[in-house]
Amino acid sequence: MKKQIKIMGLGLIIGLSVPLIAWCEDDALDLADTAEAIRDGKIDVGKDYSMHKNKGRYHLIHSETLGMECEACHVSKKYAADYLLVSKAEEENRAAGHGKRPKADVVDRGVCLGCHKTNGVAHTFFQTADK
Amino acid sequence: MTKLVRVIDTKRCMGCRSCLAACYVENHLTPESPWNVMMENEGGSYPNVNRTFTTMNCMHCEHPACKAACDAIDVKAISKNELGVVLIDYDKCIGCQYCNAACPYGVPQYNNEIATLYEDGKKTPYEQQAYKKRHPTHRKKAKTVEKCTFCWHKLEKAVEKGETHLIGQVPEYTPSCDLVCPVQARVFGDIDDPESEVSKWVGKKKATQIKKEFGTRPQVYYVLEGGDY
Repeated sequence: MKKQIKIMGLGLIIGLSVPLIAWCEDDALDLADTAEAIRDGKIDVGKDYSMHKNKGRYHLIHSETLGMECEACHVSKKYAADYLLVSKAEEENRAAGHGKRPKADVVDRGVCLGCHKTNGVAHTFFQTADK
Repeated sequence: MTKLVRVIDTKRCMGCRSCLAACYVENHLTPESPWNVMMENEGGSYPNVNRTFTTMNCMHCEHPACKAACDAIDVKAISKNELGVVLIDYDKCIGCQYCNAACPYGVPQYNNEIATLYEDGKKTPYEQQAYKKRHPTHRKKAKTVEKCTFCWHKLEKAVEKGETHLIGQVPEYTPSCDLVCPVQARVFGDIDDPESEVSKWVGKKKATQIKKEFGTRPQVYYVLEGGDY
């Protein structure tokens, strides 16, 4: 009986992990393909080279095109899922002094290292291969 | 080859900020964007407490992340010259701050406006100096990014006169911050010269680069309390 439970458990783990691994690989592939498409100019991310969270390419690439959550970079805080969406509307209310939110924390560059290293999916900013 | 590096001994630094003041005077400080800052760290637990001072300026990395970011968007305002000095061309800079986002040390500083040091808006004698008479690295512009140049306006003279071997040895060819330290906590020179002070410090004092995991290979070394890591 115990042996049967073990086999069933093993089967369950394998059954669950195979699609998970496949999903992770697909996700990584998607990210790499999207990054390549941005570099090739096939995906339009605008021409506003700035850190502006709604108009600037920096946030458009990471949060909108690549679909990364705010917490993926701003690791020390929690953000609502609709943070960027809501903040677009807030901008219109700024003149009235409403809708101001605390400034986002500075991104730890160690987070950027994940993709922006040599042979990473993004542009190479950090050279780790020849360490 | 000449490879210029700076070594800062945090065990000797007493936090007087002379290096900061020298930099501000030498390089026409704009208040929002200092090229040299002092970081203070408190450590230990009572009664065994300590405080260390670390001055941070541009690391002039061998693989500058700031330049990589700038080149990636085809702005190409950042260059690294033959002596390893990383410089920003204010005329090319578009103020996107990508360099600041990529730099592991948070060095590039965005200059939102050219403000004066005096609160009443009047200009200091340094600020009154005409832009045309200034060195290009001192012709600062609002809405651009700026940072330490290793006092390139001084090093450039050594290159022009073919006296690069004197860099770090005579005052006119040495960055001002390194000249004024009252406790000799910092030296500047050619690390490829085994007789230079920087080579000796890196070897004997076990000076190390910080945030090595980024692989940018900084040209500023620190002597740290715990040694190399």
